[in-house]
Amino acid sequence: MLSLLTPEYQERMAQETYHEAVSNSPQWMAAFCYPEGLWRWWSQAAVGGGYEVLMTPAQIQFLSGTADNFLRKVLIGREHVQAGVPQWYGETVGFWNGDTLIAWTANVQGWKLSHSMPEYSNEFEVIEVFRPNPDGSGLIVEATFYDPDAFAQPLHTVTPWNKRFEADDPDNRYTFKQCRTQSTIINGADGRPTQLIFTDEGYVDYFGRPWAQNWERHFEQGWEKPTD
Amino acid sequence: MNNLSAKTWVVAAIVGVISIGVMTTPALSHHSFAMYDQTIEKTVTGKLTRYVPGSNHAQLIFALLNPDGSAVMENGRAVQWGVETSSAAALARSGVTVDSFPLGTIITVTLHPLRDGRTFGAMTNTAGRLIACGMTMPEGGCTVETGQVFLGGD
Repeated sequence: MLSLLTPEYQERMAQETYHEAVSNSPQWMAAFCYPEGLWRWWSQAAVGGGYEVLMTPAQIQFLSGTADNFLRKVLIGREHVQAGVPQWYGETVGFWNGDTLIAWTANVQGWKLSHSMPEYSNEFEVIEVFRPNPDGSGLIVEATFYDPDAFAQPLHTVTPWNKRFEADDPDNRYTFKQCRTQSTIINGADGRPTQLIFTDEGYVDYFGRPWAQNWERHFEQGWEKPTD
Repeated sequence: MNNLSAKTWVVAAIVGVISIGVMTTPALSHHSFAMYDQTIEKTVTGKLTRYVPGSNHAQLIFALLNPDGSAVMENGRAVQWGVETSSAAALARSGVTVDSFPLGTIITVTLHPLRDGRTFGAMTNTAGRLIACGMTMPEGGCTVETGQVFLGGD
């Protein structure tokens, strides 16, 4: 992987790998509920549960997520208008060529793929080509990644998407994620990730009316409350 | 624009098969378990005080109990423990839900504790056990013999 990166991003990836393997301080995006960032769309750790696809004449929406929710939109027949406004999932426009959808994502906030993989810059762009799989199982999705700051050359991946459910499946549901309620990881005093647990200062008991816990702790001590 | 666009609000759920090559990710979990000492298995019993149904990792929080059902106290306060598990959906497939595990349920958990000594641990895919024993402590404690094994039954 290092040979595919520019010198600065080689250094960054070497730093990441060192601190995962030697310092035992993995800084994974989802662990801290950091923004996922666009490139993690191609990471099993971020979207391992599958994709839900919603199509209209004006746009195609993709919904997915493991620790947090990704909602990506391909705007059909539109142009990029948000230059200089980097966004976590970028701005995606596209068009149809027969049964093939071509999408171009730009205006991306640089971030990192995490899990011992590289960082990328605000110059990151993606061209995606979605076409029916000839075997009828779903789609073939090609993605070509461009980032002149981070990559020594464009990178390319091809992923088969297998259709698992019809639109009217009676049981299948997308479960929306609320990352902070399920991951309470922080960097501990030693610089390594650890759990913030219920006895620690700053722990939020999301399922125990945390707002009321705060009022009761700071403002209601000693109150005599009516019984009815 | 192709014929697909003529369909309004067509929804399809599609799953991606892991790609090979540079995009393949090396780990499945969304956070590292390096914080847990996986060389140690600790078994504790307590009364459930909170079930956190996380989509990635659920958590069970409980007040530690002695074998006779009395609360374990420290500095005048009940000692709390917690355990992180797999996802709430995965637990539900094994029968563990907010309905089947109401607050107050007596549970026994085998877990890997945090390395730093705080009262929290993790069950893993390969180790750990969760037993439920109803709302009162059975005679002899909450064990495989007295309770229902939900996870890690082998």
